[in-house]
Amino acid sequence: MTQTKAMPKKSEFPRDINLDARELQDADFRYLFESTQDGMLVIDADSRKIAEANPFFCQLFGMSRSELIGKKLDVIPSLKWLFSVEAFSLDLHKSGFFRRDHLTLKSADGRKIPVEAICNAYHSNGREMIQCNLRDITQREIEEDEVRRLNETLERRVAARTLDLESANRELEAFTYSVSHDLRAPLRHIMGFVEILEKETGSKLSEMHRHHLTTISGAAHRMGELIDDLLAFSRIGRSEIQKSKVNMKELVMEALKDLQEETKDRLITWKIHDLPDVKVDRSLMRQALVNLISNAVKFTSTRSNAHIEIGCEAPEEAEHIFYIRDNGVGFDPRYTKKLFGVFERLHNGSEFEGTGIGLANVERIIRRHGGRVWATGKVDAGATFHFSIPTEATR
Amino acid sequence: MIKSGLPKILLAEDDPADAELTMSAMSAANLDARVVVVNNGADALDYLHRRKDWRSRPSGDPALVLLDLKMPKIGGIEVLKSIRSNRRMHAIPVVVFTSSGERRDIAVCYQYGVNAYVVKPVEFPVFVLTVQSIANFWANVNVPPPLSASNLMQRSWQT
Repeated sequence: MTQTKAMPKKSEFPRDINLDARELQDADFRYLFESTQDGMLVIDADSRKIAEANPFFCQLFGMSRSELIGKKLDVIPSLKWLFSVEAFSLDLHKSGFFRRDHLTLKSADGRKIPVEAICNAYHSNGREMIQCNLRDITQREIEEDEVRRLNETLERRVAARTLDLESANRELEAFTYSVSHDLRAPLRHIMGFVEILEKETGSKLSEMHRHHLTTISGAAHRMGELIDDLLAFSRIGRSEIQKSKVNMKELVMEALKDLQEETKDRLITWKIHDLPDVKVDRSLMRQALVNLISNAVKFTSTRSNAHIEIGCEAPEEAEHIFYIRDNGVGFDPRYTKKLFGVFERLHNGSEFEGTGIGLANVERIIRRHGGRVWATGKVDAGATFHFSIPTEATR
Repeated sequence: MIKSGLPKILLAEDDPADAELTMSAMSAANLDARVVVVNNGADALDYLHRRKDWRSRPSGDPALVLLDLKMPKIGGIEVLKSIRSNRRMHAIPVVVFTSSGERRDIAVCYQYGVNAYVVKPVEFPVFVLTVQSIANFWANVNVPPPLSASNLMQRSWQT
C-alpha cells in the first residue's frame, strides 16, 4: 500500500506563528496540499498544462514535481479522460464538479492503480483551473471484492442449504404418505378377519370373547382415523398454494355451513364481525376456519349458553389478526405450546372426540400463508385462537 | 348367461390376506367360482397368453382383470401396459384395485387406459360391497366389445 506515510507530529508543523491571517491561510492550505494522502494535480484548462502536483501524486505516479510542472497533461496518458466531452464539457463546465470511481491511473512505470477522481473547476487570476484529486482505492477494491466474494459464497451456501431442506422436506412428506398407505393394508386385514371370525363363530363365543373382538375392531377403526388424518395433514404440506382474493366473512359463513351437523342441536350465540378481504388459498383457509370453529363448537358443548365470536383486530401495518373466541372449557395456559402439535390432545378422548390433528392442520395452513397462530385461555374460562395473515398478501 | 368353464374375472393379487378377503367378498355374492387368482404380474400375463402353467386352460379372455398395483417383479402398471398394447387383448376391461391413492399412480393408470381405479376400503363391510359391485358390474352388467370390432378400435396406449 502506498498510503503509509505517517502524519507529522504536531510539534513538527512547519507553521510560522508571525504570519498574518492571509499568509497563515495560505500556509495552512499549502501544508494541506503537501501532506494530504490523496494525489492532487492542478491543471490549466486552456493550455492543458500541469500547474501543480503534490508530493503524494508524484509518489503515486512515479515522477518528480519538476518533471511534471509545465508539461501538458499528455505526460499522464491515463488522465486523458479529464478533457473528454463527458467529463470536461458536461460535468466540469456545467456544475464545476466531476466525480468518477474505479478509474485507472497508469503510473510512469506502467503499474495500474485503481483510483477515485474528484475534480473541481475554478478561476484563478482570470484563468480557468482544474484541481484534480486522485485517491488510491487499491485497498478498498480488495475489500469490496472480498465483501462481494463473501456475499456470493454466502448466497451459494444459502441456496445449497435451501435445496437440501426442500429435498429433505419432500422426502419426509413422501415417506409419510407411503407409510400411511402401507399402514392401511394390515389394518384392512385386521378388520376383515375379525369380522369374518365374528360371523363364522357366531353364538359359539362367550360374551367376553365377543367383547375382545369388538375392542380389536374399535382399535383398528381408530387407527384408520389416525392414518386418514395423517394423510390429510401430509397433503397440506405437499399441495401447492393457489392464492386468490377472498372475503373472510363469506368464508366463515361457508365454514359454518360445513358445521351444520355439529351445531344443529346446540344453542350457540354467534357474534361474527365484518372481516376484511385477504389473498389466500381459498380451500386451505376454509379448512383452517372449519377446524378452528368446530373446535370452539366442540369445547363449548358443556355450556348451556355457548358464545362464539369471530373478528379481526384493528389491522396493523403488516398483518391482519383474526380471532375466534369462545366461552368453553378453555385450557391450561401451561400447555399452550402443545396445542398445535400433531396428535396432541389436552383433553381426554372420552370427554371430547377427535384425533388431535385439527390445530396442527391450522398451524400448517397459516404458516404456509406466512402467518402465525397462537392461543390464549384459562381452564374453564374459554379460549381465544388468533391467527395472522400478512397484509402484503392482500394486495 | 356366460359359457360355463369360462372364468369371468382374473384377480392378480400378491398379498394372500387381501386375496382371501377379496375371495370372501366374492363368495358372499356367489361370484367366487368365476374368479381365477394369480399372485403376481408375470403369472397374470402367462394366464392371459395361455403360457406355462396356463397352457392348457380353455381359450377366451376374462371379462375383467382385477389388478393390484404393487406386486413383485411385474407390477400392475406393466400388466396394464402389456394388455393395452396387445392386438388381441387391448379391449379387456382392467380395474386397478389397490391401497394407493397416490395421485401419480392414478394418473399413470388412466394414461395407460385403465377402465377404473379403486382404492381398497379399510372398513370391511365397505370392502365387501366394493368388491361385489366391481365384480358384478364388469362380469354381469358390462357388455364387452365384440371381437370383430376389435381391430376398428385398436389404439395405442403407449406413449
